[in-house]
Amino acid sequence: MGRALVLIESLTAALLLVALVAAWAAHRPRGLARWGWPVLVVLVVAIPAALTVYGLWFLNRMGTVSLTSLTAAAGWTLAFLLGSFVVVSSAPRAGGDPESRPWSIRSLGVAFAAAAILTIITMSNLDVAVKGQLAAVRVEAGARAMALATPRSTGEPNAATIYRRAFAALAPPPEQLPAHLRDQATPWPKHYDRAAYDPANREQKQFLEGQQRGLTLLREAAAIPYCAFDRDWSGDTAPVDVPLPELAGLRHGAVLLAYDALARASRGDGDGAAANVAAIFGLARHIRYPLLIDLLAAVKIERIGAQALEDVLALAPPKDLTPLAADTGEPFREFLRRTFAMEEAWGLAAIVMIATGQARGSPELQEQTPMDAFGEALLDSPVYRVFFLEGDLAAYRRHLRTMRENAARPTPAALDGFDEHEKVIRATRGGGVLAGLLIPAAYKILYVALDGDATRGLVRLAVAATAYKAKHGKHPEKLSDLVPEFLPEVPPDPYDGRPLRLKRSDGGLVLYSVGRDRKDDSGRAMDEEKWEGDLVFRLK
Amino acid sequence: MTDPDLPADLAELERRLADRPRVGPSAGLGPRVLDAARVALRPRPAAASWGSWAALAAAVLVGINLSMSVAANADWRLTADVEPEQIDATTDQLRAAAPELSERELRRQALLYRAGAGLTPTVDLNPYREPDRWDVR
Repeated sequence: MGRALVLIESLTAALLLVALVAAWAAHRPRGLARWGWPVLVVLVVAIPAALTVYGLWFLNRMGTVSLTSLTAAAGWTLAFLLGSFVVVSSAPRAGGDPESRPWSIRSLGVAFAAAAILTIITMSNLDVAVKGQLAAVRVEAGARAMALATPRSTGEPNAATIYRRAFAALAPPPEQLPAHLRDQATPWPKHYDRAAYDPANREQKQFLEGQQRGLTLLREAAAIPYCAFDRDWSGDTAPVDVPLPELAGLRHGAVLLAYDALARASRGDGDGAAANVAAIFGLARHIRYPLLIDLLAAVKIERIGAQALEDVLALAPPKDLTPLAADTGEPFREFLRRTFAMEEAWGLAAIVMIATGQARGSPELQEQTPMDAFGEALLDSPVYRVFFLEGDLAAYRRHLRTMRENAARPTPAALDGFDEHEKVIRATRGGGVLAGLLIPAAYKILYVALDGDATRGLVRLAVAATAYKAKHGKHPEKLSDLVPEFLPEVPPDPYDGRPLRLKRSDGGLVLYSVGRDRKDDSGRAMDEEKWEGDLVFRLK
Repeated sequence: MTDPDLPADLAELERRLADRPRVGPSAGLGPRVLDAARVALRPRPAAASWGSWAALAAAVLVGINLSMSVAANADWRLTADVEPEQIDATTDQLRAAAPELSERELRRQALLYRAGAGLTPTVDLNPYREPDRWDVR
């Protein structure tokens, strides 16, 4: 209703402007000036309006602007052109029909000014109303974030304090060192890679020896069930980076633990290596703040742990497998559902921030907005807030709700749901400018979570199979041989819901999940780029 | 002033009519007329019309509405601004925490972090801790 009022008032003001100029031009001498001025004013108004309609038509085809908005803009432009034609053609002319009365320039001027002021006031009032509701959206986002935040416990030991001491004792990650020291102080890449370790390398050996105090603290912290890092949200500066240092620290610590496990296994210390691997899984378990980055970091650490375990079991199978058989905590699928809920809360806050101009000038927004400064200015303008924000916000909520619902479905229905939803998002560009900007690549996140759960299942199978071999002197023929003595059940493959698979190969075992392509490739390792192949765990 | 072209009888009639005795204006007529004219021409306070009152009321209403609208729409910038350096640090830390992320996703995350940072205000439980070397501020 309010938007219709603005359209009617602005149309009235525009037509009154044309009439005013036409009345003024009637006193001009015959010739171009008499009809040229009104036509010029019509063009000055009509051309931007037509360009706006064209832009909205383009955005409507992309799916980011509704048909209602396009129809309203096109209707306004058409009505203006028709009205202008009537006004200009019926305007009195000097020396024309002596019976026609000339239009009063003064009256038309007053009427135009009144219509213009009314338009501005109505627009401003609508903008105030939108901002008020945006404040409510921000409160809603805050309440959701608070509800989803990891609950704090003050009555039990907190691993976070030990982690902080460990981080202080460990060598910092290479990117935080001065450039001239990076190469010298970085014996290994940031990712765990067995090929990068050389037992005969003196520098690597000395580096690991220098990390032992920090690694001991990491193992100690990882064994504590509860972990909550302090977050100084109320600091004197906006604490945008508060949750991040610990993630980088945990990830870096996991890489160092993995290399240390490899070094220990190379020396025949299987139990010491297993303690390191168990600590890596403990690190992953402690990352539980429901944010996408946390989920990614947790899964990455889990995979580092699995890689390290594979190498340790190949080099020096531990005698005591108990630390590795411990409960690994909440499934990543559950973590993912909470992540989507938190993502929605933060996304709502981001929409409020952008639509109220608080993000103006930020490099992320400038680089994300295809129209650069113009697009940025448009996004925090009253025009956007009054006419487009409602649809944008609704599209964002709709997509995030669909993601949450899909995440709650069992596989493979969840995967099909995400694939279908991804097609819809791509076809409609998210259904809104900001929605398209802020919607996460959900299907990729789902695959990350499923990779994490598949990795956990494979680790459990590998530990059970190792225990089986330790008892029976050979690997199990089939996975059901492990049940119930070594496992209560064969873990399901999160990609198809069926039990994880086993294949014998070169005297060893290949335990595998069908992986992202959902095809059984008989244990062929996954190609990360093509998303083809299986997620595998090799046992010698 | 008899027209010489008039017939004699008409000229005679005109002369007799002119010679008739006439009644002159009374002595007080001149002052009375002057007084009446003076009263009529005296400036009087204009009687306010309904149109003027309506225009005044409309102007006041528009003014009040405009004032309220402008006042309500004022941006007081009560929330703390974030320095660009902080955003850069956030992006760097995001990259360190998850280097697999694309640049576009990193920027999207940085935007979310900036928006979400102020949503869950809690008391710093350990305000005296030394910032460790992982903190980039």
